Amino acid sequence: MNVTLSGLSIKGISTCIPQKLLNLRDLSNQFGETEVERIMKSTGIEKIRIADEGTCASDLCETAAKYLLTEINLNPKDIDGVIFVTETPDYIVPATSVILQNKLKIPTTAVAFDINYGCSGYVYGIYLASLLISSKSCKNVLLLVGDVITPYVNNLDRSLKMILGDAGSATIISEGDDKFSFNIFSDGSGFQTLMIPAGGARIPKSEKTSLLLERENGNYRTDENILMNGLDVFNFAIREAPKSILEVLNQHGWQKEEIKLFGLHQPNFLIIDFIRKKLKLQSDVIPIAMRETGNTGPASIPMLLTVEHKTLEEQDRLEKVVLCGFGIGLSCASVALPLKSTKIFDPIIFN
Amino acid sequence: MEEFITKFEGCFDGIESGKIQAETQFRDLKEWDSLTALTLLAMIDADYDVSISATELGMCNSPIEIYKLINEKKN
Repeated sequence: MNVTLSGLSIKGISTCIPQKLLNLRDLSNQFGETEVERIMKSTGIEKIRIADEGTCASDLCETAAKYLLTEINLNPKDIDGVIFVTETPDYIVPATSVILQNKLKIPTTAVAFDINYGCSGYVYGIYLASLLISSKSCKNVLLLVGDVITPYVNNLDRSLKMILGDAGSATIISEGDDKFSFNIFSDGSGFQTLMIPAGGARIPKSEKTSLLLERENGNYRTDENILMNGLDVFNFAIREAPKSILEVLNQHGWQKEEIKLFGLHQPNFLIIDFIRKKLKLQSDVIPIAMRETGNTGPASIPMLLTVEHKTLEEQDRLEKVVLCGFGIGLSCASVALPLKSTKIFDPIIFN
Repeated sequence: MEEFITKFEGCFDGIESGKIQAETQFRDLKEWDSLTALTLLAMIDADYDVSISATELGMCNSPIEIYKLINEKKN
């Protein structure tokens, strides 16, 4: 799907990370020093942020939102749309976005809904927020994107234990003078590539689903844990992300050589570097910023922007930006947009 | 094939040159793991413009089997 929407702006972006840090070197006793160093070298991840027990993705997003609204001086009463993108909602029902509407003192006249997506979810969220604005349904949409995924990762599954981290984000999409071009791609034939098999209606939790079993490459997990077939995710990402990026560039009338920021989802160094090589781009236009946080799923693009914003602003690289997320679904989504007038803030720590 | 073996070996971290031959059962090597597999798929995609799935790779046990698979997919 390709579309260009106009009359838009992104007013501000903030992120919130848990205080607790897991230094991956501390896992050397469990997984072996050589293995840990090797994985760190390949993934580019050294530390993971882990939420305390009882802290939900919505809590991180709520904190990010309160901070953002204060900093950009936007009254919650002026928000008329709330979108929460997450794989880890507070409850099966109701939608967490409605709970957040109440907690953030956003008027009851606002529209609020959740989107169940992961690594491509930030772009999906911008797309739906933009539709709400361009259809004149809303003037200011609060997009909240984040996961607390670590409770779903088995401690004996090093393929994910050393990669996935927790984070939340808040973004305000408003009426404005900018236009955004989107490309969105869905391929449900790969739904088993990245998933939590049990706990939904198809496979309810049971004694069987809670059994800890040895899986591929000596990793252990239950069917209630998240699983990832890394090779198939990798294949999907390197096949679809470059295509999607070129598609939005074409749609928006931009040449790849004039883009100073390709803000990609941050799964690991290997994937990002390979996409960069496929697109024949210099490394300085594709920043990597997961070393201190891990792969924060749907929040990884706003996390990248908030970690790198000072450099990006100083180097005047936010005029023409392409964002691209890819992963669970399987799905891939890109957007071409300007972020020059967007207020972007350093990540804040959740207390 | 010789060039492929060299590139195949290049996907391994710290393996001595010449250790891998066309018929080597690479899954038995202590250096083989999921990250090596990822690097191998990236190399095949970049250098041969062929996409190999995890299932297809899982059915190969030696470099020559992968090389044949690449050629089958290219033709």
